[in-house]
Amino acid sequence: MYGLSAISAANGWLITAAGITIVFTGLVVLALVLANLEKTLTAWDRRHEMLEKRRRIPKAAPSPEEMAAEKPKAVPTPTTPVVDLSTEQMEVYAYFQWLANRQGETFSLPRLLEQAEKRGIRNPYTHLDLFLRLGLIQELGGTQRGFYRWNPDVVVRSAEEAEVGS
Amino acid sequence: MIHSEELRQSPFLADFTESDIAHLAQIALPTRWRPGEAIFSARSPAKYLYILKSGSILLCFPNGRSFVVREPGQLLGWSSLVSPFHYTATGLCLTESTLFQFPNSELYKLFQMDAGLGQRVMQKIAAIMQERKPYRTREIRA
Repeated sequence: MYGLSAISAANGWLITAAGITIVFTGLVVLALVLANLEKTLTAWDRRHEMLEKRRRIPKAAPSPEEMAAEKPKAVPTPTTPVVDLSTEQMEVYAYFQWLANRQGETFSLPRLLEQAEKRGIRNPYTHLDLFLRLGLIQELGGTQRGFYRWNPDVVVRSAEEAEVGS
Repeated sequence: MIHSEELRQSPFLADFTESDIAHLAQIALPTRWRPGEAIFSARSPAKYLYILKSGSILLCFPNGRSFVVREPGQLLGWSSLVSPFHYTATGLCLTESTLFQFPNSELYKLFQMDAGLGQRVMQKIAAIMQERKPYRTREIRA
C-alpha cells in the first residue's frame, strides 16, 4: 500500500498536516530573515549612532519668531566678514541652523531641504541658494565632499542691527 | 531650436567648431524651471542632456552628497549619453533657471552623421564624470 491510501490506513493525516505546517513555517521564517538581513546589518553597523540619538532628549521645535529673536553670539571684529540679512532671511537662517544641527555638525543639503519643506519654511530653495552664495554654508573637502557645515568665520546680523550699528 | 550664439558662450563647447555648435543649436530647446522643481530624478531613465543658461541647480546624489551648479554653460545630465542611461543624481532648481535641453535620441543622430562631434562630446563628458566622481562615492559620515 502506497500514497494517500497508506496515509489514511495509518491515520497519518494529522502528522502529514503537521509536517507541511512545519516546513512552510520554516520557509516563511527563512524568507523573512533574508528579506530583513540588509536592514539588520545596517542597523548593527549604525548601532552607536542610534544609541547616541536615543540618549539625546528631543526638544520641541521653536517658532520662527523665537529663532529670529536669538541673536548671534559671535562679536564682529574688523577681520570677520559680516553678512546682513533681512528679518525674513534671519528667520529662515535660524530655522535652517536648527534643522541642520539635528543632522550634526556636518549636514546634507538635500536632507535639509526635505526637512524645511516638511515644516513649511517659506522659499527654502531660494534661501538656501542665498546662504550658499553669501558663504554662510560651506562645503567640506576630502571624503566629506558634498556635505556642508555652517561657516564659523562669518558673522550674521539682521538688517535692523546693521542700521543701529551704522 | 536656439541661436548658435547662445551656445557659443558655454565653456563646455568652448573648443567646438562653428558647425558643431550650429548642429547642436538646431536640436536644443530652452526650458524654464521654478525653485523646487526637479529637472530630473536619480535612477530615472536619462533622456535629456542639459546646459545651464541661468539660475542655480542643486545636484543631489542618493548618498546625501550634493553640489550647486550655477556657472552658465555648465553641463547636466551626462547619464543621457552613458550606459545604463539612468540619472545618477536629482537636479533640483534652487532659483528660477533656464536650461538648454538636448534629447539624447537627437544627439545620437548627430553623432551618427558626425563621429568627430560625438567623440568631442564624449571626451568632455568623461572629464565631467571624473570631476564629479567623489560625489557618487558611498556615504562616509562620522
